[in-house]
Amino acid sequence: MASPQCVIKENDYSPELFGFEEILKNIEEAIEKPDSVPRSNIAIIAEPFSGRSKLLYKISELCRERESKIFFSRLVSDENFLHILEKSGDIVLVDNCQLLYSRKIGGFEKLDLFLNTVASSKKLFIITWNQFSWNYLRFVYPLESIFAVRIELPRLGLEDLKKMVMATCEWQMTFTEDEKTKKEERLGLTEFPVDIGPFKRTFRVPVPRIDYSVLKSRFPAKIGSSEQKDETPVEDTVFQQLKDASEGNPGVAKAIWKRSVPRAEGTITPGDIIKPQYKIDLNYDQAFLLYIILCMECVNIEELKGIIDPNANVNRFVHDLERTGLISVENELLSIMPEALHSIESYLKSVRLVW
Amino acid sequence: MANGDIISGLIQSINASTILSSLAVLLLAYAASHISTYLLTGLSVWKVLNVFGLNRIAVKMLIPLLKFTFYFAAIYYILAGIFNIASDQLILFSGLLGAGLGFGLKDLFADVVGGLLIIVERPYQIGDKINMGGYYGEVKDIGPRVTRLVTPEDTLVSVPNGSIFQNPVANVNAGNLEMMVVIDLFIDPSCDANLAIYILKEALVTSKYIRLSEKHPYVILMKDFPFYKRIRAKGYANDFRYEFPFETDVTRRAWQEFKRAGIRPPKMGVMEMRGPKGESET
Repeated sequence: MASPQCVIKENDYSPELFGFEEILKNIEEAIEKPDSVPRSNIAIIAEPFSGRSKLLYKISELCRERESKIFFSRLVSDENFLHILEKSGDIVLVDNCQLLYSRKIGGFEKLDLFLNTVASSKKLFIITWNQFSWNYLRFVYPLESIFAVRIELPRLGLEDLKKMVMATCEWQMTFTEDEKTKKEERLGLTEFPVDIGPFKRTFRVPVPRIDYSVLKSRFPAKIGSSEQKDETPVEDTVFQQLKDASEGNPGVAKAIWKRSVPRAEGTITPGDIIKPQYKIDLNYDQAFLLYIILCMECVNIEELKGIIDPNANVNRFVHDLERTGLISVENELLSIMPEALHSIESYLKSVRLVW
Repeated sequence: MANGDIISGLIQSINASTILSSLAVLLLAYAASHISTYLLTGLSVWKVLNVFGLNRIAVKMLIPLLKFTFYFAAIYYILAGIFNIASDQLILFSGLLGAGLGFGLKDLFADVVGGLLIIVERPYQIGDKINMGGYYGEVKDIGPRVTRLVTPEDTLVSVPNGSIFQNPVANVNAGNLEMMVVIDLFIDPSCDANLAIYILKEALVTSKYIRLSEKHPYVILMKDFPFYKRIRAKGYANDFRYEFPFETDVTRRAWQEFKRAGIRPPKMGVMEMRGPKGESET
């Protein structure tokens, strides 16, 4: 069946899907179950840029035209999707369900209708949901009883991350150890920024920096062998750094890779992989606005105005967030910058908007 | 050694030098307690604490403990180090102290003991919102003698620690940052109560200040009174500092929506026509 609103984000990092083989296998088994066996609806929950849409697209390939696809890319404003649900095949795939509601009074109507349809249907629903949105909404609606099977997407491992980057790179990559990295392989001091509220300034506290690879070489019998250290290819060091910086999120890894290795030739050193640092200092309304963007992933400025305090200057807030590099604005649509995702998450945890 | 000798020895050791030394030690204890309070208060707002699963109240718990440690160490040093009081002399000194307490220092003693009990039993900690001695507010400091509260009107109230022996203490958040807030809205009995419940529920769960989790659920209740209906929302503010902004946010948005939906407040004067005593508080 044709997909009615098919706009897929996140599909630019690779034509292939990495790291989700086990999940795909389990979902295929669920799809192949005979109609006589009761089936549980499946919710795929993950943070932004983790490849949810890509995975759903792959799932649609397994359905052998028994499925109907609904890919939401904007806040759902009408009830047309209900007609599609009524006329759909026995498997329904719905992407970005966090766009079915808006966090304001009267903003849950579409979600109510959708959940009622799912709960009363005998079809198999496989949906994707933003993890932050799900964590909020599951205490407002009985989502866990409607979607009895919940899959949280795993973070990519080193090998999968390497394969993903290699698959997108069209030029021959050469890896080499840089001078900077060599020099840092010593025991020394590094400065750690400490932000203490009452002083209203940041102190740089010296803390010892320990290079564990050097320690390993000193104590080969107990910790590891010096040969192991020498055998670690530079390529793996580069990708390990990319994995650490992106926390295994493919979209974030892709963004950091793009920033760190902008050229299409030459050599790549571990020092090239730099995780962007953000100094986030927002008032509560700005932080809440950022949280809404994080939950919805893609939101219009006008839609935000209905959610945020009417006295707040949304345009100025948006401008501030864009200036600090936390969000991007394209055609009035706001979304989180992938490389800022984990800094934003940590900040919102610290102000108790994410838990 | 005869008691007379001990007392005369103690009196003889009091001179300008020992008095000055004692004052210096007390001053040092005072400075140390203030510096530690300042540093721990600064540390409590350090965002990195969240990474270790700590919140500002967990850090501030140490403040009264350190204060008492500094003051008791100072008193011990003054008695043992400066006045060279031996254990038998200390017993005698305690007797004198007991006599002093009997005459006029019993309240001070009760406050100090109350302070120690507050540290050991922890009926409240710095940062908690409590109702004590008829005052409601956030605990800003637990000193050796008094507990200082800041009321919602920004008034600093000093409540003697000894009052915990006479009066109950109500702790609203008990060491947690989350705090339950109860929001009551009263509507005319002829209005659609179901719609009002629905609107208030959405106003509550969409508030930017709400905390929702297994441990922090929300509930909406309705009670029918003779001339009005009460819709009550109970939910947790994600930080007790947002208690009043949370209440304001939910009330403001709910009434905005009530107005659109034609839900009216009770008629003038009926709110004074309460039922039996305490009924409206259930």
